[in-house]
Amino acid sequence: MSKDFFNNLFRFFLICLFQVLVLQRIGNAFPDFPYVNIFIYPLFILLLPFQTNPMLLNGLGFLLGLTIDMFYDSPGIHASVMLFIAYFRPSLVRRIEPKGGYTANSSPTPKRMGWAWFFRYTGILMGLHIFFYFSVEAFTYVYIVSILIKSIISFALSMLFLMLIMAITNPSN
Amino acid sequence: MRNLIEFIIRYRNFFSFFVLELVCFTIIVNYNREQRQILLNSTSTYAGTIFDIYSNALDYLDLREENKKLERENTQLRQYLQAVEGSDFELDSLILDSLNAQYEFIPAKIIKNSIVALDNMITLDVGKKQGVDKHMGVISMDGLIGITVGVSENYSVAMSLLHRQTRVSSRLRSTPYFGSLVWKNERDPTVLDLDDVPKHANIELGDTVETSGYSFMFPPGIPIGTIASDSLPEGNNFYTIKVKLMNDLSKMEHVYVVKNKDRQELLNIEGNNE
Repeated sequence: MSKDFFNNLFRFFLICLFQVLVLQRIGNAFPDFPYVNIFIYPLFILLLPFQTNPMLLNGLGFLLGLTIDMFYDSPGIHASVMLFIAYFRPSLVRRIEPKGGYTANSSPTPKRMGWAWFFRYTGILMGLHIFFYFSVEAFTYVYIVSILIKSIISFALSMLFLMLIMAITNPSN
Repeated sequence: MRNLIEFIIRYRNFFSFFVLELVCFTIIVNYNREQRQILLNSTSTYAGTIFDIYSNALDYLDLREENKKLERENTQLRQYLQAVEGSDFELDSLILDSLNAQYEFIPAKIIKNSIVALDNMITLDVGKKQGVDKHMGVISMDGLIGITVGVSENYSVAMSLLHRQTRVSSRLRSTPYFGSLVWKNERDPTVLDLDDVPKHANIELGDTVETSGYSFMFPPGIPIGTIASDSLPEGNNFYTIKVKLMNDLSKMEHVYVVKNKDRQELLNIEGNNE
């Protein structure tokens, strides 16, 4: 428990720092092309252990979103989207449960669950996250075309970065 | 009651999600200008007609207040008239004066107004037919409103004082120093900044800020607001002065467009000698 706790605490800071110090800057480096939005910070919520209490998951998602909002100067937007992902995670985990079920005390990592399962799991949650993010950012579906274009480009870039990070670090928990 | 509590406990996960999501959207709408704008404007985007009918109906509710305003204006004008009649002016010269007056006032009604955007615009129900042109000042009985920027046959559009590009040349009533009035505090529609007042000027809190007339758009001496606070930033030669507006730009209906008859002549002579 305490090992998990410190592990995830460390991960929280590392992921937040990487998001705001590296990825946000990459996005800002193309002022003429506003489609480069790379988000990997939901990874923190995605990698929490399977048996995490759903309410704790909600709380952590909200906290993570607010932290990112502080740096993106968009109070509430990332928080609302991240909260939604945290809330949705348990039902998705239940739906895509493999035949053998989940091992106790494990986390949804590619090392444990296999790359195919992890790709599907991450793809669904990141897709939802990114689409909801741009929807809340625009706040109206008047701009649905631009929302979709932004979502698709951002999704591809984010998934690329996510998979690269997982391939490099490949954590078991 | 017990059932309700049990229900909440049973679905505590959903309720925690729901409550936190409410918090999020409250934050979003309160602290993000764009989303706030969209929320406030969605009524006109999706149901413009309903909104129009609604505002028409509300016009009647304001009648009492509007009446009072006009009454006040009337009293003021009467007092002026009395002052003039009591003095030694000759009637002939008075008539001549009013015919040759530099400024002419065109009464107008605001038909669209906003104060929440970064660059607020106002639509007036007077246009070319009534003699309105671009770059004319818009005033009300108790302060400034804005500057016209576009005219059609029957309507005109004005930049509100609450527009980041609006600059009005203003002066302090008790000292002859002047500066430029601009809206910077985008969250507060009642406070403007007076820039370019040099640091050797003596500034008193509560002093009235009025138009200087240097821009040819407003007659000099129209009160705009009072000085709410002033500070002299380190190493700066100009004051930072906050001006509290006298009028409430969020509820304005009857206004006047100011026509300066000599404006073209003044601009020509300035242009020729630059």
